[in-house]
Amino acid sequence: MILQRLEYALNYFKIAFSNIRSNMSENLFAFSIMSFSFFIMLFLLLFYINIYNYMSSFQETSSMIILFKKGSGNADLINYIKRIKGVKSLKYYEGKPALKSLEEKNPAIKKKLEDISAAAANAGVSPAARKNQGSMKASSNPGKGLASQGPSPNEGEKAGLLKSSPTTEAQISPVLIMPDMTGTNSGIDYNKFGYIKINFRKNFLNRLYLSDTYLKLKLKKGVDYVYYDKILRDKAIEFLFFVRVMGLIIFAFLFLLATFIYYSAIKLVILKKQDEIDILRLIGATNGYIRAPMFLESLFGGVLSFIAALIFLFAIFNAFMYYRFNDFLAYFHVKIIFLNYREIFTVFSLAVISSIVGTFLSSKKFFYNSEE
Amino acid sequence: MIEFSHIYKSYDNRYILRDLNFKVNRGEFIFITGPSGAGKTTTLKLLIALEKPSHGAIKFMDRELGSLKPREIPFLRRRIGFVFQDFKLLPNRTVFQNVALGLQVSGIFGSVINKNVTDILKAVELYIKRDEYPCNLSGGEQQRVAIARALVLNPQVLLADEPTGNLDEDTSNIVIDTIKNFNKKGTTVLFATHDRGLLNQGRSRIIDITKT
Repeated sequence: MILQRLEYALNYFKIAFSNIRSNMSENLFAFSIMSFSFFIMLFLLLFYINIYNYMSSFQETSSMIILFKKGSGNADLINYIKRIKGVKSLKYYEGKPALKSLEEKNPAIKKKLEDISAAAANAGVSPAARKNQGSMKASSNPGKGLASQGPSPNEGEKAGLLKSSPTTEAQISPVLIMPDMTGTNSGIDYNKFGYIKINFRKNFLNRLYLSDTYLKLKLKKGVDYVYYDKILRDKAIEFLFFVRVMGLIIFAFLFLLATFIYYSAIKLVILKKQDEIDILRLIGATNGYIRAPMFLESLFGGVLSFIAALIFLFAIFNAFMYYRFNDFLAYFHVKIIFLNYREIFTVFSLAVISSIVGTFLSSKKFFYNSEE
Repeated sequence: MIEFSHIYKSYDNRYILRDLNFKVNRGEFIFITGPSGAGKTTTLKLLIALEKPSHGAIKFMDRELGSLKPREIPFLRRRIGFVFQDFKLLPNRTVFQNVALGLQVSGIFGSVINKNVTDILKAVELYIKRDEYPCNLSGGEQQRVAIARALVLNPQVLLADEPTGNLDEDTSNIVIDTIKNFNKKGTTVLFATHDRGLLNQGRSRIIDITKT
């Protein structure tokens, strides 16, 4: 009985391969379009996964940086921050180590701070004015040093370099150079430089919570700046949403396209083999007997075109890595990864489903029209 | 075995068959005759449920065909062999494969196929040409392959629709003899033809359908 069923299945395979051979040109055409569709699907998925991973890591490392006002007492502020719900940890940096920690993030920061201070000293402006002048120039690069996302000088405010008490335009500046200027070339009083970095618990990382905390801290006495990458984050979330929606639309379109291709390919087979199918029906073949090889044929085409698309994408991915684009991206803390088995299986399932649906629709219509 | 009761069949409000009634007993050899367009082929098609009657009932083995579900129709056709005027062989399959097709669609494979196909090809004297393709056979040989395919499943009834229509007289006689041999073994035969000359062979019952 089992042997008989095996022979039955083997017969289906034989007929399916015979169909493929006799419709080679149509099958090749369908194969190339389907491969292209699956390639686009896989590429989109790869793109989305990497963007998503990047954004996720960005969220995980989310933090706020608080710069003190000169001479303010920090102990109360630290205790206050510790009591805020959702704060995972905080680090207090002061004096030279504070600058060093920023230097680790942006090695060029010390040189830039010195240049700015020197420029201010040479201009002969008052300490307060020099502070403001230097700060304005410095607003771009220190920003980069703080959180790896660097706003340009004009974008400093947009990117979240927000001052707690913005009275005039000149005061919108980081106090990274916390200056009492000494009048020396170096121009930086390292001993008075300090900031607090707050890390939040993962489950508290949402727009509302962060905005609320930002406002609380901004209004706190002794706080000069609160650096919060809110706008950048919001943009990123919007972008991620856009990618997801567009990806789903393109996925749906490609799925329908693949289904339509199968539909057309199998319909061609049916039309071409109309006489043969009629004979089979006359000698007692069931619809299942006639349709099973068609399903196998499209399934075979779908799997093959999916494998071709996957191999092509993998080759491109490796070429990309080979030319060290990954190192380039790593500089920006972007790590490119390939699709995992689950993601590959998702697109594979779509390939299989579209082949089955396409075949079902084309053969159903035919068998319905020629129903006994 | 077969019973047509008050069968009407119309296409586009034009009746092809009007009040057709006949019965066929097991093992009979029946000629169905009449002029072209009288409805001979339609009568045979009704019997294998390729067409449905407009009115009336057809019984095969005490089962009314109108009550058959679509999925039961293939199984009915496996019990009724059908031979066509234009042979209807698959050109891309050999003689052996064409005949084996009848068994394969019924889910029979392996050694059973080899035995049954070999036996039937020997019976129609075409075993020697088992590996030939239909295009390399004469009309008479192709028709005998078609008969072999129709009979390989040992059907209870063989329907032959003008099987000698495309053949010369000598070849026609060979084909008719082949069919008669199977009839002698117990297969009921309904043989549609408009060739009056064939009707004089033997003492077969004749159903004459006149054009309406």
